Amino acid sequence: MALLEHVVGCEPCQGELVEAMRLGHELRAAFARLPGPPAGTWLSVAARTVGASLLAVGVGAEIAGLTLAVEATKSGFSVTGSLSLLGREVPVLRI
Amino acid sequence: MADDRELVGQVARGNGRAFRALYERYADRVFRYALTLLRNRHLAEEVVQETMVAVWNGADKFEGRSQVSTWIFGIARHHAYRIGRGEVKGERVPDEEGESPDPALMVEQEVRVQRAVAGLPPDQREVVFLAFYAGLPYEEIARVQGVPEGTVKSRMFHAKKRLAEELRP
Repeated sequence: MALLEHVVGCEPCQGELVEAMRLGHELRAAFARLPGPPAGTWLSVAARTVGASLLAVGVGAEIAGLTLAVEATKSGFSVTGSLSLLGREVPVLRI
Repeated sequence: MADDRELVGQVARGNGRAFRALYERYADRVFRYALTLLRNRHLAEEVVQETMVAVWNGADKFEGRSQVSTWIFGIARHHAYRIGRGEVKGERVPDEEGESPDPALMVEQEVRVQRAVAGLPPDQREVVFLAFYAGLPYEEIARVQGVPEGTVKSRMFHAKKRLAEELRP
């Protein structure tokens, strides 16, 4: 609080604060411009972890629908199903 | 939306969807971190893969004593140095100097900032990335780098000084 009160009344400190904020902003922007990993990286990771062939199938419309998903887990595979009705999703199957 | 700790908890129980969500949240940051350390896209991609596989395998051992981001960047750092030393696949991809986005897409000042950051000593470059882009506090950066907090502050002090000098309008 005392620091803030000082800065409010001190022109050189205000200048330094503005400079520090500008530098921070420029650094964030510069790092954000760096590329991300190639799109295929996830597939390589998935093949070594959750399995490459996660499957999700959905049928239906906005009013009602059914989704069936097959997922790999650390202990094997799981099959889950859910029913959606008027935007609300209700689990109906878990194996 | 689940927070990082919740996602790690779900990953520990083998939830593939949670793992995908964690990947989406961290892949870019880990890649850019590895790029900052190694300055090589191929090696950076390898770091992302090894890091995320380690997260999947080690999620049940995460005790929550640090932030999830600190834990993940710590893993990434370990793999970056291992891969950088050529311990993976027994080969070393040559350095790619000037590993940065296409300058044509960047405004002049951003090119200057990129070059100034690239010119910093590696330890300082890493601190600048972790503080300004990853948003880690000094205490967490010290954990990632395995050094006292005072060392992080010193590295940041020197990095800021040098950057301010180079980027002075």
